[in-house]
Amino acid sequence: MSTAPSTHHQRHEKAPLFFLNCGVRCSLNMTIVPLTTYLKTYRKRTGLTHEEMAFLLGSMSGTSVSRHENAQRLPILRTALMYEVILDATVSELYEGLFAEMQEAVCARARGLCASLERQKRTLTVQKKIALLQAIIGKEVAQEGK
Amino acid sequence: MAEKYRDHARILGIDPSTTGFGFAVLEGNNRLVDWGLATLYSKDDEELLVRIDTLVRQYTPTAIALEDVTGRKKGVRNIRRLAQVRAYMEQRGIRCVLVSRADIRFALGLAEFATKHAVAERLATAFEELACLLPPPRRPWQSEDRRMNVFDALGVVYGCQGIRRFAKMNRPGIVGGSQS
Repeated sequence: MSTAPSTHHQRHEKAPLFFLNCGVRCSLNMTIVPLTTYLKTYRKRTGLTHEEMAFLLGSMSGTSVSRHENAQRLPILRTALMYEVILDATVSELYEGLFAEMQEAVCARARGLCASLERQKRTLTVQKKIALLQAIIGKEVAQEGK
Repeated sequence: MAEKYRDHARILGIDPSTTGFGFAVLEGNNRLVDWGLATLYSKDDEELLVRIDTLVRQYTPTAIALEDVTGRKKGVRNIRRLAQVRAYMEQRGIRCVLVSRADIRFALGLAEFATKHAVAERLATAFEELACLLPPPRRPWQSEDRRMNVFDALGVVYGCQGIRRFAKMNRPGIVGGSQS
């Protein structure tokens, strides 16, 4: 008989036990709601402190940055664009949860408007509008499929 | 939105120590959302639960990952704190997943007896943002660097994600993501 088993063998011996364990302990597959904002994640990746970020944003305090990160306040458009410049991520990436929420709301309205336009006489302008609305709806469907 | 985030989990990993705890939040697509060290100023465990509760409210995790200390030598306070966190989370209806050292090493593709520093190094390679936190290897006469708590917390989350990935395959005889 062989003496001490190799690491490779130990792995294979371990696997069934591991599998049994996960069968007992895990069924965590579910849909999560994205966080309203990922500002903190992006800021921490850069290593900047609240104060340094506030300095880059100009005339703001670290507390304001913290409030933006905790989604207690929403930044004004100018500040949001500055975040985009500093953190090298688009506003929709920084506010992923909010973006998804807004997209859903716009799509719901687009479906309504599209339905009402389809009942109208098909002029060139109406057709153009329908194409635009369908593109908006399609964009959401495409993103869902990703 | 629902489709895009289906089968994603946001898992909060907690690693209590005598002076505080390390935490890490990982989202399904291996996005490290937050990480850090929290210092506790009082010796009672209520502060620990309050601080963890703040994180739970902020990140609404699918589950909490904790280290499985069954049959391991650990400090009494540490074991008590882990039990308290587990009880508190279950009381709140949040699922707790216990991840053993072997699960973490398995998920990272390391040998079963790999050191904590090897685990931390592997995690720092996988998550570049943590590279600056990686302490130098501990000498026998030194006590453990506090920053290791962050890697321990991330380790349990990563191990938990590994278990999920493994469970998803739902086929026995598959080791480390490839068919044997």
